[in-house]
Amino acid sequence: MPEPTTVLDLEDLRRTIAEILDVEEAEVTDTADFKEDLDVDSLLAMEIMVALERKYQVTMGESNLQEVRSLISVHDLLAAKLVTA
Amino acid sequence: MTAEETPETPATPVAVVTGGSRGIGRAVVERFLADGYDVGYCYRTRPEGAEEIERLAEEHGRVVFGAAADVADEQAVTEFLTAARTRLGRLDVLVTSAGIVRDSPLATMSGDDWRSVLDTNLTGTYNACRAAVFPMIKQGGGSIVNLSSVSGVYGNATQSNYAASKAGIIGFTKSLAKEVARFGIRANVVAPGLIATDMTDGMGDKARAKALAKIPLGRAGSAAEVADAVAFLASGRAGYITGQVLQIDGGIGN
Repeated sequence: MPEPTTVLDLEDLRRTIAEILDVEEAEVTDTADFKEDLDVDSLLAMEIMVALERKYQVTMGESNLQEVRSLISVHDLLAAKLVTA
Repeated sequence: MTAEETPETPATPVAVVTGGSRGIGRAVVERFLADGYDVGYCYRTRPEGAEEIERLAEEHGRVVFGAAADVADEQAVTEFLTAARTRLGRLDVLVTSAGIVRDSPLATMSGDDWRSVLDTNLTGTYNACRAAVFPMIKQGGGSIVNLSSVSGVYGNATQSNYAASKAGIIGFTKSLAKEVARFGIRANVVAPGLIATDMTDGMGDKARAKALAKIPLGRAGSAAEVADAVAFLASGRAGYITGQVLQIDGGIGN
């Protein structure tokens, strides 16, 4: 379980997502497509969302699932959530 | 767990029951109150026994929330689940018990009788589970118990609509169980046989005698006996059980 934080750091996020996906950090490039490149199916995307919600203590809705598609898009999503939190 | 709670004071578990004002659903509501849950329940039209449920809740020191919601109406069910979660603070257990029968031979069954049974029993189960599962995922776990019937397992003459809806609930729940296990959510089915409720009160004496003759235990079950099985599957005592169909049928399945 990732440690809770409200500080968003791209490398920490990469590490966290690599842990959830059980892949090497290097595979989680900024723009790697989760679905196409990392075999992330809809349930795994949900797992990522729930883990990030807890780690960054933000609230995400079902509509945010479609933004769980690459490291950068997740980073942007979290950045927006943390600004409004 | 909310910010105000500590590990020493765990939140009171919350169960929500559809079709909770009558029959098996009502017995399930009473069982959960006795077991220390706060309980939300919905009914389609009449809040039968609402005062008695309130009294029971008070007796057990629990909070109860009842509201009208037709489970066939997706928006109404979603609003009910949202209101129950808001009122009771969380959602640990969902029991879908709302159901109707419109028996007739298929040769004379109307499209309305087919659709109303499927809409309430099967789509109603989907509607409630759909509204509950995302909050449970985000909460980190939960337990779902969907009420089916032995008719859905073995079939029953003049119940092709009811049996189809109840068989559908079994397939639905087995799939859901595989889907949500990774989120700490279990989903199981309870399939009652002949249970003495107002739904079965309408049986004629001959039909009842015929049905009883097929039951090894020689009697109809009680709603409380079904509620006991539901409460077990919902609880942590069934923590390694998911995707199962538990028949409460006096031995019909043997």
